[in-house]
Amino acid sequence: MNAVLRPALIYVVLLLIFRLTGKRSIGEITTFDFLLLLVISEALSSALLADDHSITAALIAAITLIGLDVGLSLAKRNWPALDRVLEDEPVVLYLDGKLQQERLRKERVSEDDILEAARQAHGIDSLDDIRCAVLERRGKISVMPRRARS
Amino acid sequence: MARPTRTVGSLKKDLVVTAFERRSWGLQRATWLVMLLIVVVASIGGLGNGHLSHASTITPLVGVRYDRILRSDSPSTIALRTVATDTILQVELDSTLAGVHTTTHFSPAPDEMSPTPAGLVARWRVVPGDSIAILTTSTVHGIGRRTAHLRVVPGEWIALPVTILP
Repeated sequence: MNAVLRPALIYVVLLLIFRLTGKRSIGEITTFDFLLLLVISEALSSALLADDHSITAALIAAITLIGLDVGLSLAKRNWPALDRVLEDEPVVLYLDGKLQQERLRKERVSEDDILEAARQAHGIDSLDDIRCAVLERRGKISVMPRRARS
Repeated sequence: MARPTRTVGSLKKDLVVTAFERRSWGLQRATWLVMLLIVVVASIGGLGNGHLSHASTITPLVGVRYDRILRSDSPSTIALRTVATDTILQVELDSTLAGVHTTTHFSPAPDEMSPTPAGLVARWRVVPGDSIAILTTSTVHGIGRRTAHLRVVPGEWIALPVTILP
């Protein structure tokens, strides 16, 4: 039973941690974030299966985790409120020349992050050329240019 | 008649769901069901370490509780309960049991333990008439069906049929 319960418990706790620590935790991964994920996975690997080193237990754990993920995606589709709670909502960071300072601060996003997203997506290097910037639910910044690219 | 299409970006998308898509979705849902089944079976011990895998054998002299479904490279316990008939309690594990269950630890620790060609022998000094509970903890190795045996001397050998999963 532990091969099912342990992964399920770890999945739920990690889901809560990542949800509560904000979008950027996994949305835009940096080298440090990557190292953090490696250390977390190393720390949790022994807790996942304890001293059970069998292939069966490893496969049960993997199937449990994937099954939970599939189940949650089905539940989110059927219950939009759950989707909102678990996935959050998009946040407008910049609109028509105005930076939403409080949202930037709360979401731990800087003006440079918006410009970086603008450069990558549209080759824009000035906020003046941006109509709207949105921090999406998965942590990526979407930029809508003020005018179409020539 | 031409199939209806629409353009999304640079892609022309078919508006009719193809048989291939339907087959893929059907296969996907069947896989989900199989996964759910595996999780349910594993939760109740059908793949070891749970209610369905627990088994017990009771003879006039000894009661044995063990797991009949084991997983290779995972820990397993065998619980013995008996009443001492002599000042020495001797438990013998046959070579199959000793071979499948390696690095066996007894609780309480035996006063004497020796491997023999036939398996493993452990002895405790006890008071005749006392009720004795012994727990063996070990790591399981091997794959397949085995029938291991143990006995509390002077009783008969008790068969412990087990299935060891990878």
